[in-house]
Amino acid sequence: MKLIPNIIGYHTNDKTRCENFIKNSIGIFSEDTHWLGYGMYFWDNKSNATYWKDEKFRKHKEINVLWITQANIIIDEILDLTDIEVAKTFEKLWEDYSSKKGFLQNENNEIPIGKKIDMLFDFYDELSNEYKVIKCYGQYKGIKDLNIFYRTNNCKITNKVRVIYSVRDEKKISNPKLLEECLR
Amino acid sequence: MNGLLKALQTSKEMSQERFNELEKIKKLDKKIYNFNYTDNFFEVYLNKDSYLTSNKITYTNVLENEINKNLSLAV
Repeated sequence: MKLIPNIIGYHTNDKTRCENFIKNSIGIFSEDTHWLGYGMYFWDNKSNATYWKDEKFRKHKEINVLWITQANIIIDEILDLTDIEVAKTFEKLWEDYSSKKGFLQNENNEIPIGKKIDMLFDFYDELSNEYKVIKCYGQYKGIKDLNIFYRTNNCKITNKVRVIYSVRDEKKISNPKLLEECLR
Repeated sequence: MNGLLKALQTSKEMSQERFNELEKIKKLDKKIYNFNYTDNFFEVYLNKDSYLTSNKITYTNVLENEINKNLSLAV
């Protein structure tokens, strides 16, 4: 028996798209600029998907129903940007690419990370052929640490970091299910 | 990390001329990347192919039925 490494990912979206995702296996791919670029985005726990649901209700008054879904994300071909050695190599690749593109330093600073990732994936077949899922940590400065962490001396634990997965290939998503229907 | 290391090695060994040539072949020299962040809940791609051809679908309640039809056709 071959074991396939996978995690359970959580995705929040509107009901219709989630129904299409669950019933017809149609992924919900978006283009993001400040995160991981193109892909279908997943959290690694339900609480973060619930947080996202609250954000969506807050920002989009026209939405009354949201679904929280879950699926198995196959991570055998993952670009893990939480691994510092991987991130450093990725940074070197960007430096070489941007140098060849002729980007000036100030231009370089203005390109959002999601677009840097998309540019590298568009150009280097070695990336697009090998990596179908990208993982990162998101820093959420606006979130307050729980008292048990914040008020404990020398505590190294924080709530301000969240794990995010972007799946660039729908073949890496399986067993989509409805976890919760959320009404406004 | 093999793919990443291979990409880096390829990149380091690539001449500027070859880089420019590949950009043209892949049509990346003319590709415009949108750097402006818009948290648009209603825009999605169907899959990688639709992303590469910039075939983004705008999703609104009014167009819901039409889009469902398109999604069915895409399957």
